[in-house]
Amino acid sequence: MGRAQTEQTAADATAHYDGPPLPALLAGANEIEGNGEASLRDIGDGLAIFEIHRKMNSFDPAVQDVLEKTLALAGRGYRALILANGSDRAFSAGADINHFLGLVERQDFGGLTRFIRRGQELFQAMKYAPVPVVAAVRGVALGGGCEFALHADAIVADADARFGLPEARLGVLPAWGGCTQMLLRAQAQPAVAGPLAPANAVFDLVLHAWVPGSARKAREKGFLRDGDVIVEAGGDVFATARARAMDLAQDYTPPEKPLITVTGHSGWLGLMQSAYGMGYAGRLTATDLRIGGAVADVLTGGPTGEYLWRVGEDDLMRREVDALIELCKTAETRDRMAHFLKTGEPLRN
Amino acid sequence: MPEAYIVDYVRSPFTFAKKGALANVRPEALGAHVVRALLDKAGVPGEEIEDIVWACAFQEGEQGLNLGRVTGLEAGLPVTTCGMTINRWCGSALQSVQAAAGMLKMGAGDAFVAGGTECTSRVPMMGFNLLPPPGWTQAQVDGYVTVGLSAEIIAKEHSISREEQDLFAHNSHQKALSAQRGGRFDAEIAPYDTGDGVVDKDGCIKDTSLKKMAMLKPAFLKDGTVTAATASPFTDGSAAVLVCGEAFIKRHDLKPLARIVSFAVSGCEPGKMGLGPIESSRKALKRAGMSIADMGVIEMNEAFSSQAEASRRALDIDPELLNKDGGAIALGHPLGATGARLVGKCATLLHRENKRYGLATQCMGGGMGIAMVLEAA
Repeated sequence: MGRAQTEQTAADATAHYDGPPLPALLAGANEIEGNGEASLRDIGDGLAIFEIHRKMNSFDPAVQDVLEKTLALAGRGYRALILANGSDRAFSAGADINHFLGLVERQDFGGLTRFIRRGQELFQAMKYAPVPVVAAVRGVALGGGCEFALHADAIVADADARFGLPEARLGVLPAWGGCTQMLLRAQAQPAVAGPLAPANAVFDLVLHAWVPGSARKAREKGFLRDGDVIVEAGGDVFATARARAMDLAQDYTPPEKPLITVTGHSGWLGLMQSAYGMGYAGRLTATDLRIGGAVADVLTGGPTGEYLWRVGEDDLMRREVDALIELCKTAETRDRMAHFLKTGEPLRN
Repeated sequence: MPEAYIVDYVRSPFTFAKKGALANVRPEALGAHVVRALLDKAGVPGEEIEDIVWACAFQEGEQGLNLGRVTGLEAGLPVTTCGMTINRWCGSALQSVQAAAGMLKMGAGDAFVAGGTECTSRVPMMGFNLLPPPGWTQAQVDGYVTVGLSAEIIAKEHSISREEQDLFAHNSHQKALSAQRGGRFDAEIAPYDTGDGVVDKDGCIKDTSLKKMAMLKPAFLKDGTVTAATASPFTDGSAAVLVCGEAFIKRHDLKPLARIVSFAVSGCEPGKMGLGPIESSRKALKRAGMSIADMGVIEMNEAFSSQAEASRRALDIDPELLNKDGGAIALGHPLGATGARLVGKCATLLHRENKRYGLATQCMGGGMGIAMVLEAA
């Protein structure tokens, strides 16, 4: 379905839907699963809403528990899933940084690997679930929160929603499938054609931690796809997401697992050339370059990758985890995290 | 062996990539415009042209379909006129002039359009997909690709200070500004109608001050001396010359500008590519049986102030003879077009300045130099 057609469908649905916004939608909705950190609720018509209830709606293992139970019910407990919450500040700001930093500071890299791998597995399970998933995004969808939305079949975003993968500010890289899903999105865009150009677009986005200022700009940067809907001011994100979910639930088949073309070490050198250039000019630090190298490793299939190899999502996501763990073993990454937690500002070390 | 002559020269305005007035113009459209203008100016019918010997440094996307052939077809030349595209990076169009002359001298045609186009707005420098050999080290990639570093290395090794580089660039702008105000580009520029207006002037020339230039931060090395002002800007542009043999000139009653006397290319360390003009010029002069003192006009590309000044010193070029109407720092450097501008400019200056011999030379990314000696016709 083309973008214009999709937007038309959603717009029509919005125009004809006079139901209540999320808090009211949820009033009286039966909680199917929940633990105080997150919940799954039945809102009728075979639709269910997954909602996080934490500060900035960040992910911790308890949220992952509810998501796991939610996905186990896909197709039995509901026929379409909406990811939403009542906050207009944050769809989700990603992984709980206290939990994350705790693991790093204790040097519990086994625990960190499990936390990250579990996030990847859950998001993959959601992407290939037998039911459609629609992310209703208001406020920020950053880091892991952005990656959560990227694994949905469709995103319905408030015009002011802010998407981004700013993990580099914390000394790491997107590892819940963010690099992988953005590369897939870029490779699907005819405007960024060629063996390396899509990876280059994602590399810049991740290395420079760009967070576009609006949903429209996020679409330009590849976070939103053609079938995703931007709801202008005055519109109802939840009602539109609900209509989109109903629409997708008709004759839904999960996406096929894609193969991703990578460029090996040749591409790695190509990606890093501009980064090194900025490093020589003093515009990127040694830590930035280390992160860039890790991101380039993921996007090009690693140093042993061959030019124009085709690999699965699993291959790149395994590289995401490995790269993240290696970065977390460095003092510079730990300093970036601690500094951010203390000041709310990125450290340029 | 027949002699090869530069009969005429035309170029588009050169404007900043991305933000300039020609950013939305496709490469074949800009090139075709220049080819038509050149043939109109010379009064030579298209069917007389053997080949469009074209140049382009990043032959990808819009520039990837054998731009020379596409340009000829877009220019409305008959299908019987052939087209090719040469790549020697920054020196591609100077090489295209040599290639045309070489074919002419071996009797494979007697009229050629030689030139080139680079629409850096449309296909960025280094292309969309930079894929170096995977066995290369980062240092090798830097040496081959990161030309700004080469400018820094040369500045340091040849003791060319920040102030000297700024002054060189300032002079380039002042000379270009004077030429623009004096209408001395009018005869070579073919104004281009974009649909939003006619572009008839170069867009990169600035009436700037040394004080302002001194405030700029280094562009390529944190503690370096090369800035955006002492590097040639990313540019959109196209340029062409008409290369003909003696019999053709007589048959069409043409007035040639210059005879091609000699030509040379040379290689050097990729990381010091800016020194390319030194050896290539020496070789071309030797082949001509001349020395630099015989040259009355010298057009040397200004990729960067540091490399142009280092090459000038090494070749002992009188600053008064160098780049009379400014160089690439002021005019811009559309990689695929620059060489034809240098040859065309050198040939026209020989007449304006009433000189006999001229040298057109430039450095080329990857560690190469290219040079051509001309004699006023």
